[in-house]
Amino acid sequence: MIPAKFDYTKPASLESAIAALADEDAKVIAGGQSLLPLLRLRLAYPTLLVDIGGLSALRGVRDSGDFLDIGALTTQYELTRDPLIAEHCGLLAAAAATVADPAVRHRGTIGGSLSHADPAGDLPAVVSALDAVLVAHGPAGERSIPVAEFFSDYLTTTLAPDEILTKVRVPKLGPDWGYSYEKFQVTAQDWAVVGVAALARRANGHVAEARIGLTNMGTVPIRAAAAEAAAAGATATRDGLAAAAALADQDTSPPDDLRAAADYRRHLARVLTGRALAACL
Amino acid sequence: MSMELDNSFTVPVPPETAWDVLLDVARIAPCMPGATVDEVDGDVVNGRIKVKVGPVSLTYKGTATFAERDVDSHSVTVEASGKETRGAGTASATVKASLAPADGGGSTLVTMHTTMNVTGRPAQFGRGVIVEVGGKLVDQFAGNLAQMLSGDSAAGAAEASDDEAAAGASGAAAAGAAPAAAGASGAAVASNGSANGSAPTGYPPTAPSAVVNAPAQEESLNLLKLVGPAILKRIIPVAALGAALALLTRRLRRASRRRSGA
Repeated sequence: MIPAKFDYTKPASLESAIAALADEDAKVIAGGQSLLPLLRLRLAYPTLLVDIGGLSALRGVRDSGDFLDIGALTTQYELTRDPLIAEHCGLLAAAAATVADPAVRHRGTIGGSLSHADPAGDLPAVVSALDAVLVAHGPAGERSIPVAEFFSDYLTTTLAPDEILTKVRVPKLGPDWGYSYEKFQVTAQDWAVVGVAALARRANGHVAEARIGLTNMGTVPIRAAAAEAAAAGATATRDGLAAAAALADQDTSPPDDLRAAADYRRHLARVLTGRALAACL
Repeated sequence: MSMELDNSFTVPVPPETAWDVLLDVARIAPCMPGATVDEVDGDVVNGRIKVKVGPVSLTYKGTATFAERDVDSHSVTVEASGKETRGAGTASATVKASLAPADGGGSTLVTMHTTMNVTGRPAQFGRGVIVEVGGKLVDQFAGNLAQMLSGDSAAGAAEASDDEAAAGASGAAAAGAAPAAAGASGAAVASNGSANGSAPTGYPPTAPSAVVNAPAQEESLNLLKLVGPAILKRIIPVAALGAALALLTRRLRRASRRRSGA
């Protein structure tokens, strides 16, 4: 199908973009990689598309001391190639490389992926594991939202309808942090059946700290808190971490769908967490 | 794709009062979140319901009718059915609600049993998502109904149901008080569908006239549990093709494994 009729505007400034969103049926479009399929299937029919693609200030990665500030319009391709991200936040590059296919990655943006909040998307679980802070701009000004408060449900974030995500702030990971993104797919370039974003800090042959974000184990990206707690202090070997991996699916509510049943997803979460943690070492 | 859902809640009004409200189709209809009432014709309500999750929205247009009423057992059956306005799908539901005295007759236990059936695009999403979406809708309906029934205990049920005729200040004031009281006395209601702590979004309509006559204010229900990822995963042709290919390769692999005796 082709999309239902809509009006289109491409504001030249962030302020005019926010003003355009005052219309209740307006929707932001950036790369369009999540929105266009919905439009084409006529599952969404906003009457006004606000194209923020021209706001070049929202693109790019900046070094901010202990953090990296990633502009919301940075494409997934740029995430995989950026030297700052490669050096300080490799998990993001590794996960971005698994998103869909090159054509999608060249247009899809990190801001769009996070705002769309598909629990099967890869980037939400990654920023969740990174304890990132999302910065949004609205009519009332700038607002910083910790990632734990950002995703509220399927396709739903705590962004107001007239707010635009402008920046993602991630902490720089030191050399003692290992990372891995394990994604199980039915076919290449497919959505994740289950994905695990893992970070582990090594110290003296033990795991000092672990962070595990799960893709597609619930309506929002989920931190495997029980597994993280069990991993802390464990010996930094595959066997040492096996007990932690077994707890990966606690407090999750994986969906039952065409790709996999819920209990298979639980099994996948445990196995993939084990692999991801081992790969961090 | 059909499913059954059960809800129950207690309201601090006696069964007879709750019963009067339950019979008033025009008053129950706005309790359905995201619903707009277009026309009330005796026992039949014509209207629309908009279900919205994130950017995705589905609108159904149809009717809700009282199919049965049993005064002795204080139970009603409402049958609703509608068609998608922008698609080929349908949705229908049968709700059986019954009242029983509680707390020695001062309160009422309302039990609802809902059978829901969905066809078309949403039905492709799979049981899990549809049940969640349907369940959330029914929970909100139950919550709104509970709030409305409790609110009436403050304003007086008889006065509220007379609003249909009266457009006068006293009628409007009473109806206006009812929604306000409903908001305040929301705490009085115990709803034990699947625990839904947040206040119902569609009710009470702020304008007193919304309680009186159609059309009520349209509020799209921002249903949180949704169909989004399911849509994107199931409907997009590439994904469907991918799944078909996976099935095929799995079958071929299984067949070749059998042949090689593994």
